[in-house]
Amino acid sequence: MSVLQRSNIDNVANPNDTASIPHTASPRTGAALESFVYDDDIVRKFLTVTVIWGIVAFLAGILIALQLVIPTVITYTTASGTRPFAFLEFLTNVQFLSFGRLRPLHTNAAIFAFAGNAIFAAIYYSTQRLCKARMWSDTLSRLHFWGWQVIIVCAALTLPLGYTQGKEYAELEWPIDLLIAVVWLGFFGVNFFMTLKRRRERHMYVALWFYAATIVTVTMLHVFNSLAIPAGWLKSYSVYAGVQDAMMQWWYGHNAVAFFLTTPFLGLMYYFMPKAAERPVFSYRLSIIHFWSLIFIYIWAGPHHLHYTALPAWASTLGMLFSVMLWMPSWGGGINGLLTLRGAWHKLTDDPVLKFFVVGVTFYMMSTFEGPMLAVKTVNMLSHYTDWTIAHVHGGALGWNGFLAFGMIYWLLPRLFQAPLHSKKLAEWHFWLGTLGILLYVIPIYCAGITQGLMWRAFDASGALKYPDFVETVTQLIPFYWFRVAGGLMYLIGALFMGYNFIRTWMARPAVYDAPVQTAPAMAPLHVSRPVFRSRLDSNTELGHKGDVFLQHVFHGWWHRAWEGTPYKFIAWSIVAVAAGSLLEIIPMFAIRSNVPSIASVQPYTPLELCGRDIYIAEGCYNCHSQMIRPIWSETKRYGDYSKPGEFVYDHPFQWGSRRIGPDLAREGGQRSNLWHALHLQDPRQSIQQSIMPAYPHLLTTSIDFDEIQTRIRAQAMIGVPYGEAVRDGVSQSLARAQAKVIADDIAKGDGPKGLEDKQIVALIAYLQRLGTDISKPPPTAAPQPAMAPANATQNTGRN
Amino acid sequence: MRLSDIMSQLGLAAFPIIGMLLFLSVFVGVLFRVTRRHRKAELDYTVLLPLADEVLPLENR
Ligand code: HEC
Repeated sequence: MSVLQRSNIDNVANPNDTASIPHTASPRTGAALESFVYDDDIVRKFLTVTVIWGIVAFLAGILIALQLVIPTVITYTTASGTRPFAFLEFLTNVQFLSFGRLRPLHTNAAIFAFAGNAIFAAIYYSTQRLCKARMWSDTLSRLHFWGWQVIIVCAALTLPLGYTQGKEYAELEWPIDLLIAVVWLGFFGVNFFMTLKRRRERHMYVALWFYAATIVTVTMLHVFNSLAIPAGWLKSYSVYAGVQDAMMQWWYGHNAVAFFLTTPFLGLMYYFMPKAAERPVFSYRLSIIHFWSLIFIYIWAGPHHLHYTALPAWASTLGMLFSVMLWMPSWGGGINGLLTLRGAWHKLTDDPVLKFFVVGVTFYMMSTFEGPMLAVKTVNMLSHYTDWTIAHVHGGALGWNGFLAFGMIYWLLPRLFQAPLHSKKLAEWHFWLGTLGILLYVIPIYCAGITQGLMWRAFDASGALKYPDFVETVTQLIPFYWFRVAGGLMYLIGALFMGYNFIRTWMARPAVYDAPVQTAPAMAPLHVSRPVFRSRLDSNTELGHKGDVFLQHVFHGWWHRAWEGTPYKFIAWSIVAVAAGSLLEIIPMFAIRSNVPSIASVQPYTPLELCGRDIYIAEGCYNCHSQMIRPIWSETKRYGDYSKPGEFVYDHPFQWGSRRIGPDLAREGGQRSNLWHALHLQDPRQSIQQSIMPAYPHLLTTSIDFDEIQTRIRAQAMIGVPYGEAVRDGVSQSLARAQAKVIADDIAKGDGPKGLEDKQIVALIAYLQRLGTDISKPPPTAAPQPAMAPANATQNTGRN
Repeated sequence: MRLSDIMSQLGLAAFPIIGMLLFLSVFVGVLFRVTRRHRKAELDYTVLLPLADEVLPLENR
């Protein structure tokens, strides 16, 4: 290995990668050496925002963790009747800070802003070095950087305002989705693949494969899951409905974990771990196997998010099988990462970078062990909808993604800012605070999950539910939730230490960064290494000769080296693997009628109910409430008849939810009076004292936009919801007004708030009263018409 | 008659199972290929790439 040829950037005629400087010719091929300078400025940019957005994401997490405990604090009353903590009420009743709106902000910030920028920093740093080439286009690099930050800012503005598609981790509305597609593929993807094309190193190190697979697959996931019909500038409806939307969403959701939070971080691990340990990865073969198994297996595992739901059993069984199979390659990869330290374990004691990496990889192995376990149906029966899932993802996100990113940041800081790390001691503190913080978060939340899961299914001796009151199972969790706040705070403080270290190291940077000029010969053309075959046949047709040459090619196996040498073929194969897996899974789901048997009595929502549903989505009620009763005894006992696929055929998007912080609402219709709902939504604690649900006073004062309802009904009709007459001008509005009046009058009659007939709350109540009621109605006699009769405004049969 | 009625007649239910078997066999093929002996030299070279930011002399390429 020759030593780097160092010189200042000013001495270079063209600092970019243009091969303009003459050099000695290579002794073997005669190819001239080319000169180039790596673009580290872009890496510095991505690294900086990683730290900033990381802190924002952790802060948002702590805020929403606090929101789940604060309601129990504000209701605390002293003996003298004062409420000392009442001033914290704004955390539970300000609409822009509402849990249902901030939780998506937290997840989007953690995944796309923090983890996203971290992988971009990793990719821009390592790709240039592994390819021995500057990024293909500086302009695209900058467009990628700024475009991505604009997307993040748009998310930070729209989500608290309630603009959302209502699908987890894909909440951003359609204009932002379009921007994501352009920035991701058009700027980032093109730049990356062109750099691969222009590389000066024939062999593509495995990290590059992981990056390539990430770019290709995330594009596909994003495009197909986000297909929607706009109904305004910041409103759209998923083109899929019900079961199919659920299938699409979890195909996306699961693979976002695979291809946004796993494959790029594995690439990062395979590059930076050897760097930090100063030795090559333990087994390169294992890393290749790791790659192909992730590509082949992960894509099938999505349906495990939908066990015991209205999803057909074959799909969820496939999801389970493939999930269990994933255990092996994941552990192979993890062990591969850890054993990279073979013979260098002593370095661990005084190197915070290695500490972060080792614990990060350990968390990878823990999460990938737990994941397949949670995918087993019987375990899932207990864990689904509980905090167990939350504990699982935080082991992965804080432990694996966070720690790998931190390790990389500490490794890169001195190199990028060309100054020694300000304080190694502070980095050590970060490490310990972070590790303890994760444990303090994950262990109690794991206990909370199991506790609640067991309480939901507990029966007493007489065969009745032991905890029929849902809120009992919530109160039980509050102590665990306090631990989570503490753990999260520790993790945040650690990250703040890193921020400080970052700033101080940056302040010590030189006036001008040294940008060493690299040299390498251009990549030799492929045909040099490709054997030339001649037809062995004597007299034959041209086609025969060609065939023989082809066969020789195949048998001599040059094709697979060529396959790895040319990224295009390799990429094509990755796409084939991922796309074929997806199609094989999704086509039967969409095409087979029997998967979604229709139910004659299930009718589209009335215009007012649809408007209420949009409010339900905008407020993010799905972050706390499921709408999916599983065919499990304890569940049908608590909530009523289990959910059928046919009940969701008009649900664009589906709202099954994934976590029950509050009770399931699939059969909420008719259970409570309109007045009960109005008061409960105004302030849940005036109905149920221990409730931790946010208050929605603004719904009683914000008016319904009746004109908008017409646009939305038309958009729904465009994606196949049979709205008939209701699409005609003015029809939806008058139907909605009529239904709203009935509900408002009913509330006023019961001594509730008056004058609600044009307020959002009546729309939301109309929707809640419709939920799950169609199935017990008689099938319509005439041609399909939306059930326009106001949902039993005065019927009040259930608990109250 | 809707497209899904036609598709329903095609007996696609076995589709994902067949797909899974196909996947597994291709995957086993990949495993077999990467573990073959003759690629050792290439792998031994590639594994060192992250440690060789510096330009390698041409003889090693
Ligand atoms: C922070 C999580 C959270 C959010 C967000 C949330 N809820 Fe709740 N919800 C709860 C909890 C906890 C309960 C149980 C205690 C109670 O009844 O207040 C509950 C109970 C309910 C109930 C009573 C069900 C019954 O019949 O007992 C309804 C209805 C309801 N929520 C509707 C909504 C709607 C509509 C939204 C969105 C506007 C929403 N919730 C948002 C947590 C939440």
